[in-house]
Amino acid sequence: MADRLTQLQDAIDQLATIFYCALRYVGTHHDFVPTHTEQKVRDETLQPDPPALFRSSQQELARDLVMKTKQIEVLIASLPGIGVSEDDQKGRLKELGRELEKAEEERQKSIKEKEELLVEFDEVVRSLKRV
Amino acid sequence: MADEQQRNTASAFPAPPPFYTHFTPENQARLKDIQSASTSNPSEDDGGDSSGADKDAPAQAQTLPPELACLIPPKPPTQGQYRSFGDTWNIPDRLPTLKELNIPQLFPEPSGESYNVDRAQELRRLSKSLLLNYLELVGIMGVSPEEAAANLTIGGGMQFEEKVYHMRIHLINIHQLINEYRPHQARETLISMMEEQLERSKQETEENRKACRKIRELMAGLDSFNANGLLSTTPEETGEGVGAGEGAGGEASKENDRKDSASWEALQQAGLA
Repeated sequence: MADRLTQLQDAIDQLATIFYCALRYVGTHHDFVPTHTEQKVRDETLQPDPPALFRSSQQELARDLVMKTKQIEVLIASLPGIGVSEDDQKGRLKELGRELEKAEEERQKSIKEKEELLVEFDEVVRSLKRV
Repeated sequence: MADEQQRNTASAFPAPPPFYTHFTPENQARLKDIQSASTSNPSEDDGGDSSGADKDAPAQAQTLPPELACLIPPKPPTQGQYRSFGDTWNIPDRLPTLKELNIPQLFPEPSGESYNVDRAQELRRLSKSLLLNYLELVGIMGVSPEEAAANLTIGGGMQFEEKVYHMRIHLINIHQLINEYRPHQARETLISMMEEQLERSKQETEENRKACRKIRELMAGLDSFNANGLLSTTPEETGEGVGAGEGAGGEASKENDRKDSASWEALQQAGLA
């Protein structure tokens, strides 16, 4: 999964795409309404959707738009490290570096101890078997 | 020649520069010979890349035959711009500000402690504003896009075009804000990764110690058996196997198994002999 910022950027790009799609859909699929007694206008390049479908498509596009906006808001709210200053971060990093070093030392020590014990244990087992 | 070079650097997969044919083992050996012969102070030549002994390398390159001169890599540029894969890059590499790109900046200059809180606020504000702009754009388009355009050309500029421009600026600003945020996130990610690693390391140490304790207990138990002379190989061994497997983890028990079977073989051989 991408990080939050990339997600946010993607979401914003998608929002722009939805902007375009919505306008384009309305522009290319709308039907014409005759005024008064005039003939209904026709345009060969347009393929009007039936009214019910047009309506539901419009609603879907609007819903997408709202959803995406909400998603963007959620992403903004969950950006990592909000309210932490750069100096705080640097201090924390240094501290973690020290702790890590210490922990690594301890780990190596424990591994060594384990290996030594294993050898010792092995000798005990061998001595048992010889009896 | 210059023309050709221009075309070469602009293409996505540029041909190798014409002098690549000079990079032969013979030439490299020759260069090495010349260098070791001519340079009375080779250490200065090595240090020249980082320190101030700049004049050394070019002067040397001039005295070399041309097919050898190109074997000495030029120094990396330290300022200005360079081109790579059709893009222009600044030295040092950094994010150009909106001002440099001649794009209006819609958020205040970052300052001080509440920097990041501000930024989230600004992002939220900009995204709302973007949506509002879109709403206005749809409104304009809905009423009568061409007429709105015609009316407004008198007033100077088409309305929907202006709206599209505004949205564009908004989007660019949002992306700029997000990109400026990236170093902050990178540090935050690093912190969480280090915390994770620390946790893992501590856990492993703890498990190792537990295994050690278990083995010690077992050995103590065995010793008392030994002392009492109540030794019977088979039950003991299964007990050890289980104990070691639990305590020291898979690796240790495998090791034990191997050694166990080795000693079994030795035992059997001894028995047979």
